[in-house]
Amino acid sequence: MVSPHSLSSSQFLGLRVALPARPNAGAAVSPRSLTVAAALSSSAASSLYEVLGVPASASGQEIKAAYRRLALECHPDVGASADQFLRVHAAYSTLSDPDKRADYDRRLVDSAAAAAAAALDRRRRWTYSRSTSFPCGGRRTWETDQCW
Amino acid sequence: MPLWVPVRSQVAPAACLSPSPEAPRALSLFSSSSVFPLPNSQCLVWRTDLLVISSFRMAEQPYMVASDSETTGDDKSQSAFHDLAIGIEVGTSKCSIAVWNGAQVELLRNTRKQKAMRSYVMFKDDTSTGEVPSGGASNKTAYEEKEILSGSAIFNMKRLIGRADTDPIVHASKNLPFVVQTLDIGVKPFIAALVNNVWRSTTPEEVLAIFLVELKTMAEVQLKRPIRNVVLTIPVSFNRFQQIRVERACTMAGLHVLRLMPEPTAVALLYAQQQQQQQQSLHGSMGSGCEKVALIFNMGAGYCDVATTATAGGVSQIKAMQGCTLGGEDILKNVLYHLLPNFDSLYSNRDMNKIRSMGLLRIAAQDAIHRLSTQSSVQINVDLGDGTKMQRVLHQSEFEEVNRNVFEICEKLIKLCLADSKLAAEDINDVILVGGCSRIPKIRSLVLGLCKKEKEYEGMDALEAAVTGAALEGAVASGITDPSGSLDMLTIQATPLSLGIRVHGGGFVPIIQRNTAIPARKSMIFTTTQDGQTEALIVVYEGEGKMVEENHLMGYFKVTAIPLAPKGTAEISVCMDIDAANTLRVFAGAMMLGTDRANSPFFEVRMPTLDDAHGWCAQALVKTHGSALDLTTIPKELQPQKVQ
Repeated sequence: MVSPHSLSSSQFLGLRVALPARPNAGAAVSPRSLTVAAALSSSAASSLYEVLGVPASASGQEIKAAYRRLALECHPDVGASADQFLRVHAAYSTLSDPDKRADYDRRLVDSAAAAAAAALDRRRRWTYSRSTSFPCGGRRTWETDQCW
Repeated sequence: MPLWVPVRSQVAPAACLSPSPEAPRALSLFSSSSVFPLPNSQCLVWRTDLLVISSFRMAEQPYMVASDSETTGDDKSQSAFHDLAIGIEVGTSKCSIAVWNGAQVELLRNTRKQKAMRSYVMFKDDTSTGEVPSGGASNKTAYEEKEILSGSAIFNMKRLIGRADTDPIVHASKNLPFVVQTLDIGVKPFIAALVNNVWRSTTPEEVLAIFLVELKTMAEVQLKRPIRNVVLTIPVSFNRFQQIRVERACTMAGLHVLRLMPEPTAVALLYAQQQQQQQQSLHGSMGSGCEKVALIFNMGAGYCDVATTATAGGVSQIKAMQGCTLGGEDILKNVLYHLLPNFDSLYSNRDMNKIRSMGLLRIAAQDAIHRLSTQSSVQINVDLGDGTKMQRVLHQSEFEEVNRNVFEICEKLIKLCLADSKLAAEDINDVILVGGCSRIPKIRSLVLGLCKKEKEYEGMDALEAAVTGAALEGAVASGITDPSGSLDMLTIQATPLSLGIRVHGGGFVPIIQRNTAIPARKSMIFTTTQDGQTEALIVVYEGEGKMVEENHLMGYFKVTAIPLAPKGTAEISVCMDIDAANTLRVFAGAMMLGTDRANSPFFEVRMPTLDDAHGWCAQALVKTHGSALDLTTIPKELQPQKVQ
């Protein structure tokens, strides 16, 4: 069983906190865990382009169309979980903004190059400089992160 | 004359008043009972055939109402249709109900064949059945406007619900025929209707609940099934406190709110459907099609909303929303004060004759305003019955002059909305004008002028668009699909107001900015303001003001177990989560020093937690704790980044 603490922590902190591997296998089927899984494995698994199912060369129009197509499938109004939509929306809000997308593309290249080295010094980097080294992170954009 | 019973309870049975988490239980109580407890402790005997249906359904699927609003889409059997949510628009002045009938949206009519029913509740003694208040949707009696304005009816509930007695809108409502009393201490205003020459008190929620019970009964009789789920439209400017009061009124009426939908977003959904159908007929079943941007201007009797939406492929994304409490009521008030400058002093004593003549003047002014939509001047002839006769001509230019402030606010809202959505007038494809006040020529020209358009969007009924959109949302969110694809659509909602917390010095720090798409989840790190501070207050506000006192207090709680550290070093994470049903949860706790781990279990609080006297609570907190439990922000570059 999931303890209340670990469940709610994962649900809310998934975007920010690398939680220790959770013992409960059951959580894998919980829709909430998708985001956590994505957050944890963000450097390895899906890029934002993969989340939207578009090539890295996609145009703004294609990104928008893909987002809308996915929204029709994964919005809570049509029966999906909020986390699925949050993930798609997060990808869209970065890729639909030319500046953020350029920034993201740069980091994508960087992180591929640094992937090997990352495993070694990840622990150390986290302790003192979270702002520049969080896997796949970027300048936090909460102040401008609107739906558009 | 029947005796007035002074102990007439204000309190519904405990189950009715319980806050939303308890709502499902309250509803299931209702549906298994043959006697419906009305909020004012009177009982309505349920039609037995409906009762049989509902108790059977309860036995079959006991958690029907209690189920999460995020209905799964795989239940497409007939039972899904039974659960289909209806759309209700309770306007300040008029109200309507609509439902998806399997092929399209249909508006229900009352027995007087009206689709738009006057929103009011008449409190009158009826010696045979006791004092059953009845509303504008009632099948039995059609009250004339004159009677509605006699003091015995309560109307404009939408302008009063969820407001404190310090609110200027509540103060402005004092010129209505029924009693609105304020003591200016930040609590619920006292409202009362005249019954047997006695002012009998009630509350806006109670009035709304009675009205909703009538609408519900009417819909159940017509649709021949019990109604549980509703999508209710609300003004953009409704804060969460007002929303919770509306939800509570619904719960009292035995309705489960599937969605509270800002009116323009309901219109946006209808627009998305129309665009989708248009494109399908043009290009066959082409997927996404080209994007269309629309500005929706909605102004009714009580509220004015502006929203921009981008639509393609049946998906409408709300870009920005602005709203304020401004509508036909304000226009009417301006005209009344223009016609009769000493209006206030004339009607302050509330004797019966004065109330009657005030009602007559109101009707005459209302009528004049309506006629000014098509005429350049109107003749007002009204015998106020107390020896005064009013005979004069009101010109359109005069009307526009006395309402200049109204038009200025409309203009400001549109400009703000365009700026928020980073749109120029040239980017807008369609201008959609809805709501009763959109018929005023000055308002039409103003909106079209700001959007640089010659013509408004055609193909929507100005008075039916919002309720039609709500019914569409009801069908979509109930998991109904349509083989022809006319329900393959979606409105991606946005939060109209920013949500954040109080920091040291009384500043407001937004965590979820306004116009963020929902569902949304955002978090921020805060730090302590005292050395060795182990506890911190999280005081949650909603609004756009830089300082907390300009915003609405939603609630507060204390984060404990902050590790001992010098000020400014401990980290407190505050996360806000809004789900698809627009429920706000705040999640907060202290982190272990220098790590990304929680120091102890976090707190999860559903907001708003407050009921009355919220102004007092903030003052009391400051008085008791000073700044000992304050938090402050940490520099932006030290905030954790968003992990994609």
